[in-house]
Amino acid sequence: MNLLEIKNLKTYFEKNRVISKAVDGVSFVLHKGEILGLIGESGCGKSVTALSILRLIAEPGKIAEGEIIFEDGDLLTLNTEKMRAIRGNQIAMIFQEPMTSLNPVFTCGNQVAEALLEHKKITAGEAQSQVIGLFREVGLPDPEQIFSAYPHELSGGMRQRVMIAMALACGPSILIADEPTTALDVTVQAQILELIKRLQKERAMSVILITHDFGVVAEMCDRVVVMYASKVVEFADVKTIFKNPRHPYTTGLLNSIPKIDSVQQTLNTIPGIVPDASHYPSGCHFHLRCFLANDRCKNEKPDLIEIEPGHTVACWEWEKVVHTRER
Amino acid sequence: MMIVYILKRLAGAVPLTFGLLTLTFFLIRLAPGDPTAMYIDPNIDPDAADRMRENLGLNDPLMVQYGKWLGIIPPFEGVWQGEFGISFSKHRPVFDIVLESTGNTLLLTGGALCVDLVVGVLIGIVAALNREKKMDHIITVGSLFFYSMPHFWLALMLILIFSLGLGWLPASQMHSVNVDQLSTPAYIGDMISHMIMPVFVLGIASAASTVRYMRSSMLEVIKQDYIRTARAKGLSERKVIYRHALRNALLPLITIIGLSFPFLLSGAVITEVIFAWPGMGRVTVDAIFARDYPLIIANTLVAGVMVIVGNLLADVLYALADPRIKLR
Ligand SMILES: Nc1ncnc2c1ncn2[C@@H]1O[C@H](COP(=O)(O)OP(=O)(O)O)[C@@H](O)[C@H]1O
Ligand SMILES: [Mg+2]
Repeated sequence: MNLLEIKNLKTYFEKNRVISKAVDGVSFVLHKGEILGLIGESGCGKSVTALSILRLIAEPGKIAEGEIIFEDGDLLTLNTEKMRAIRGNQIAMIFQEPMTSLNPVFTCGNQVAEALLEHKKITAGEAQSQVIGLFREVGLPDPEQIFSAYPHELSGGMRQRVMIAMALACGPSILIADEPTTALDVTVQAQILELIKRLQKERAMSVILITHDFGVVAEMCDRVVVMYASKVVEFADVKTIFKNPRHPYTTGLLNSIPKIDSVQQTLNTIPGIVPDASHYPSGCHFHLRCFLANDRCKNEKPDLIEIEPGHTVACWEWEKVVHTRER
Repeated sequence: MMIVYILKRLAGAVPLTFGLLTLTFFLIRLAPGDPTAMYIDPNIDPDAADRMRENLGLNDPLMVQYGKWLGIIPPFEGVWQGEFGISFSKHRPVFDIVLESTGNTLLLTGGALCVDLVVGVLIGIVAALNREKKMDHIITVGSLFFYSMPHFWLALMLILIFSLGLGWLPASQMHSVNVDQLSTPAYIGDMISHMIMPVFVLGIASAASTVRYMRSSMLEVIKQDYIRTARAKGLSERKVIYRHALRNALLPLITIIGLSFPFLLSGAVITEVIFAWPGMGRVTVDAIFARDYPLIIANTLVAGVMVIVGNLLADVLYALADPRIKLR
């Protein structure tokens, strides 16, 4: 069942007459109760997509076009008050930077309780006991004490747990997690991912998990959206993505996963870098870095086509893409 | 812990203050002019001036004068004993004179500080929220105008318009002449009408710089991640700005206000002279013209203590407002 449907989303930033098309025609569907991975290198437009869903794009950004269908309505047409009633209540978000995402001058408990008091009709006392319950649920030791702790007194992993508690406070049906572990130590990363997975199951939430790491996708996700330079390039369930990837960018990302049993230590990274959103190349945005690129790729943008049920690709040469993961 | 910190800071301020007073002691004696000059009439016996100098102890060698001032040589009536002497020109203990005027100066600077904070913070927020828009540009020009305008000029213009022209506000002093006959509310109203112009003149220039600081501080804060978090919670823009952003944007302002306190005091000198406000500034200026050494020193001491306490207060406030700061 579709819980959230994004249709042809375009989010642009305009600075000094230069337009950055950070998200340019993105469409995908989030099902009820799934973890949807949104993967791509840094600068591909993942965060902008996520922030667009909550309409948190700041100046000079604008959602130029598109629809975001949630509960039979288009979020992009709601007035400010109705949108606020959804933010943090039905759709919640956690961010990449736990060190800076909490307000340094308020206690952790206060900041989580604020979300509850904003959306639910409860007293401050009830909010406090609920927050302490949430802190326990996200595995924070000594929840009563952390309630009155300030963010700077906690480690990065603990702050991210506080952020998760804040996001879960009102029992949202969608959690958007924007690279929730990128800034954390490796050991803590696994714990946070496990926590998100556990909470998703227990609460039957849907999660959009943004990452640049296919290892995380393999562990966590049901289906995957691969984004490159403002566009969706491939979309499939997780098994298909790993077994039968059909976009050269996807195979490039898969090849760059470090292999534990590999004798050779070098990483097979994709040559080149993600171009800046203000000047994407003509044709397929990936053609400059693509080993299959031909003249057509240079001049014409490929559309997303469904090559098998539930598997879409935007590539002129998808039939030539054969992925062999060397073992 | 806070108490220990405050005591430590105050203890540290004692040698500082002492150094300041010693410096003042020598500087004013090195400055040209002499306390007896203003009594000297060409028709009077020149010996009279010398007798006066002798009486005031000004014919002693400088180091002897300093020793007497400190109270470490006979007659042992100096700073060490808490004696700051008798005013040369007013013939009363200096602290009686200074204390009468300190309250008036605090009233003036306190009022100016309120104008500074209220006007500066509010307009600074408006500027930040309308960044690069027409309102922001108007505020920028306006604050530059008030910032670069000398106190005396603004004061004279206001007197010209509101006292001489419109006759709405009294041009000088702190009370009207008939003050003794006024009831309490009328007394307060009378004093407020006397305060408006000097407080405005003194406050508005610092408010203009507060606007600039507040604007940039606010702009810095509203792009922080925790502001995005606050919005993602579904808070209203009002709560995002006035609860989450303002509190953080005010932090650097506390320090800046603490640092600007000396400028407020020195601005008060000019303002008090122009409006004939009976405060420390005017007493100091009179004392300097009269080369009234003990009175100058007493004023320096009080102003110094006010600056030190102001800075200490700013640091304590900062620590109270920012949980990341621990005073030690
Ligand atoms: N505030 C902004 N102003 C201008 N360009 C922006 C802004 N935010 C993001 N972009 C641009 O949009 C593109 C996508 O950014 P982002 O969504 O943050 O990437 P990702 O999250 O995938 O790493 C980048 O090229 C970035 O430069
Ligand atoms: Mg990102």
